[in-house]
Amino acid sequence: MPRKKQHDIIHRWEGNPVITMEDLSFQVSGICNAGAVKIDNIYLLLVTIETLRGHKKLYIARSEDGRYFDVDDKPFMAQADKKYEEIGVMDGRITPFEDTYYISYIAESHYGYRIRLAKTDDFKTVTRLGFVSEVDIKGGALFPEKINGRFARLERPWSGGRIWISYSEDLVYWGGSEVILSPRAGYWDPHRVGDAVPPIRVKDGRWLLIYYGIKDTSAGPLFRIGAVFLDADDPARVVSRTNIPILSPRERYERVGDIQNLVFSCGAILENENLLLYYGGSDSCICLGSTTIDRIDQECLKSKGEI
Amino acid sequence: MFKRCEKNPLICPSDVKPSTEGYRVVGAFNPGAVLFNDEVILLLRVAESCIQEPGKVRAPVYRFEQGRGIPGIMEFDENNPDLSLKDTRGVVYKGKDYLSSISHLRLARSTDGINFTVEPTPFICPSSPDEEYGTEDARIVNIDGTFYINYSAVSTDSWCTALATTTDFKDYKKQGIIFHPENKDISIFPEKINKKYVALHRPNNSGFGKASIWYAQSPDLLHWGNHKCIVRPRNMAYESMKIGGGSAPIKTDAGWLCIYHAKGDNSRYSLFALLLDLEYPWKVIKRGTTPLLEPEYDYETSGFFGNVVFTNGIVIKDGQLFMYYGSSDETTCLAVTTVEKILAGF
Repeated sequence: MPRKKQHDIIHRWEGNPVITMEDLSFQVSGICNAGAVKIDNIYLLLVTIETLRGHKKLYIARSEDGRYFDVDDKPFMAQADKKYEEIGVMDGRITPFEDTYYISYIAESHYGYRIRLAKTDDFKTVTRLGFVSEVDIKGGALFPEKINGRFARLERPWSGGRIWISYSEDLVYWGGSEVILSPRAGYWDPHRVGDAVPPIRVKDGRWLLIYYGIKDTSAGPLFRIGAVFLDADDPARVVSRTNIPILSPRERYERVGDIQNLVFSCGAILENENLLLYYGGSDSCICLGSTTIDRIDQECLKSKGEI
Repeated sequence: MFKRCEKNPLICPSDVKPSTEGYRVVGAFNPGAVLFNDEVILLLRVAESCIQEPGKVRAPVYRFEQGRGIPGIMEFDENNPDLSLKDTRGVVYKGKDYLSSISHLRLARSTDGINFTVEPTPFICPSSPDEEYGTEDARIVNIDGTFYINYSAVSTDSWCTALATTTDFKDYKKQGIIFHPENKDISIFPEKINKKYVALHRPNNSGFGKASIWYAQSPDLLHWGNHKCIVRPRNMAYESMKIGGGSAPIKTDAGWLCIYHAKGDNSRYSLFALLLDLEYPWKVIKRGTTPLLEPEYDYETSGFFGNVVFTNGIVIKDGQLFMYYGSSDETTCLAVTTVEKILAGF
């Protein structure tokens, strides 16, 4: 193994990519960005697939080992609202919540991007809930438990490129909005940041938020992945942040594709101390990387309080 | 349709005392309006820039300490190589934007609705980085004796909408952000409909067509949801860029009467009427096909930003509809009509 790889914070699986367009039984124009959850020893991904016609839909992929996946032939979720989902549904993020699973996803239409919620108990049937955000907003990760009695979600309004938090009693009406994380001039994430993986509670109670950071270059944007820990009681407060990316495009499948130089995640699975991060490579395939909470924590400590 | 007040413009920048030494007032416009204790209260947007000196470039700037905003002045040498002029709206210094003017909200009071006394000091000022570039375009609605003031909070994230409340127009309480960036032009209805508060709002939708008027509901005026797009710009010169809501909708037997602004060809602003269903206010009953008011007079066609008439403050006084409006992003004007005339003109 080349020596530099020993320094990787996230170790790429040697069999990457996990899912490519060639692994499907039907023709598509793109595959990317998967939500992830493990249910009864089955690893389940909710994959965004773009049809040849240009509509985006969410498909389920299942695996017994988290590495070799079978993708369903039929979409789990497709456009259901003629007005606000006309172009498609994408970026499904899965949040286990008590006995059920919430899916927050991006609805795309001629009105713009909005976050919508859905709910499923078994990933066989799904109930759509409302559109929760205003327009021109992406992200939408829901916390897996209530915060001081209210649901909480993260989101990224286009304008400003920051991550916001909002709260709701009922998943319908949202407020108390404030910024929790901003791009940093002079760092790897200077132009936009956004919530990637729904927050995960770690052992000591803090929240781990895997986010993405964007640097605009003369050759287009670079999408990379970073991490922050949020306060256990008040997740609007960032307690630490990696001052380097934990994953950057390096391999060919992350460099070359529909959107070059892109790693982007909507889902991870925590198994004991091991974090399995499923991420899209260059908007054209699904990949797997692994790390530990400790390793991310160490990187945050090295940043010495720079947030 | 509307009769312009002969005393227009009612309030000019020269009628307003600067908030800070070294500032000068360049705009006193786009007022929110409401009736309070036999007075018409206006909440003006007061834009201030700095008194300039040869060889220097000065920009207004707020810093924030313990929840308060403190106005100040950034001064640059004109020839500083790190300084670049953006356009008339500001300068960039070492990658950071400095605006040529920053707005706060200032009260003005009148017993006749025409002759106003502008208070000598600001009412609502920027108080946090969310408002670093100003507080603008207030809309006031009286709901059961509490006055809800929504305004654009402008920052490096462009703008979003925040809420404040008052009962006496002496003190107020900021209630935080109610609509994310970029979202403004919020018209809160004066009463609950089907047990929910209701508002019109105007989010931007970058890359997806023209900014339109949306509808939202709330149980408490702080948490909002059930957003839907209800009025989009029409394919006409008057509305070729975008549209947005104005003052609180007015309840009439025929429906909720709204006056909205349209930005058209050559960035020209005009005002149109809209009638929404009383019970289902996301349903449009009628929409004016010709403007209620468009820039015609000198004070409307030339100024800080010419060819703009913009209203966010309407009161019904003595059976007449008093529409206060900003002209050319500079002065405050008044035009009067009746609800009946507008309804008959659809």
